[in-house]
Amino acid sequence: MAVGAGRSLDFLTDLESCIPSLRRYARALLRDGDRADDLVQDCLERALSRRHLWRGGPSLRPWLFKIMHNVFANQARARASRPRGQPIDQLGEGVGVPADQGHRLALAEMARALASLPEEQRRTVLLVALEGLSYQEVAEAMDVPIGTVMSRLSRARERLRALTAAEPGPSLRRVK
Amino acid sequence: MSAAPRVIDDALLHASADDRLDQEQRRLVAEWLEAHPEDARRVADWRRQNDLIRELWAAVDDEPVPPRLSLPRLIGRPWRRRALAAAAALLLLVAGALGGWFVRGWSGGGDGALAELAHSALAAHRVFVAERRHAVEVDRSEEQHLVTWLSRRLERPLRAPDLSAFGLALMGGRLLPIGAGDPAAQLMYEDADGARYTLFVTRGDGRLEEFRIVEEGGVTAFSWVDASIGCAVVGTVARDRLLAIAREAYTQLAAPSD
Repeated sequence: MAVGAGRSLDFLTDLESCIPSLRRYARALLRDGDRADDLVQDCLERALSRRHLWRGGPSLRPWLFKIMHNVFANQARARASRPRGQPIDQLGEGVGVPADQGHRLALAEMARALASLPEEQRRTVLLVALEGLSYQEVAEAMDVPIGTVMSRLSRARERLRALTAAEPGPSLRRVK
Repeated sequence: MSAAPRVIDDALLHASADDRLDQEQRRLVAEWLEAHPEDARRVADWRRQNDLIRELWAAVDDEPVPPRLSLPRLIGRPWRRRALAAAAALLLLVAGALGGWFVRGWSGGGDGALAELAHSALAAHRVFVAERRHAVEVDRSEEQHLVTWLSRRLERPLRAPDLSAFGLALMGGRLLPIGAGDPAAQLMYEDADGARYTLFVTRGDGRLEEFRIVEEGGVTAFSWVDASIGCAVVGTVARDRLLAIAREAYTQLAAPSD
């Protein structure tokens, strides 16, 4: 791609521009700010040390998310032997100033629904909805065929529909 | 012709919710949704899910990025140093027995051209920034001559990067030997407080594309090698600033000469 000029510092520039995205995704995965930034740090260190393996391409992000998934899986294995100190349901974090009560409920409901999804479905819908990756990029990041991405996305979204109120505002919810 | 896909499949509906359709597909899906209210509800719900999910973590973008995630700080740190500290200690024990080979490999101490470049740049920096009267061989008043001369000797089209955005003014430059007698160029800059920075340029070895940060006695060198040149920016300054300066120099050096 680059003729003559090297890509070494371009890599750094690209990597740096991905940090906000990595932090956001890690936060969504872990729901704990410090642990999420630990994950991002490990991911960045690993990306820096393995930068010679980056083959170039239109976007660095799928590769970075793939690294993050691997790091996350390693840490999860390490953690499995230790007791969990973290409450699973840490909502409210990341929830900004609510426009109104109904909207805040909808956000909390979505956070809970997401947390209840199987891990693979949750990652898929987060990469698509939160990070705006294309389906092909999600396939790269998760190392699965694109058909798998589509079926996971379908199942995730249908499950989220079932678990959240479709209509905006609590007043419209069905009363038995 | 536009009657091709009469049945809109779920993949297209998802792509519609994610705004990934081209104009023609958008039109077809819109027609379909008009005739199929249940699908229209699904797509609307998926869009709403997207909005809620984005809103849930929107606040993360407003937080300052913690310093420990700054790339200049992370460069040169071996991957998973903390997690592997114990294993490293064990390796070092083994390495002692093997005669030190491992130690170098582990600390990332020496990888040829890049390490030599960094150390030469640091050495040249220390020698010449201390000079008051002979800091440079060719003064900035002869910048064009300086650039032409150094370009000819290095057999590369060089330029003196304009670093005034960082408050740095070119002082001039000189020719130096590196390694077995290859030519290297040193350009010196000075800021308003008299702090000096040097840009050290050698011929690239045509293969490596790497970068690293080396610190020696409070002086930091950020160096990189690419197909055409090897380069180091040296200064007594925080890594973040040095990297920012290096990027600017890199951009200008890599730009095609006009």
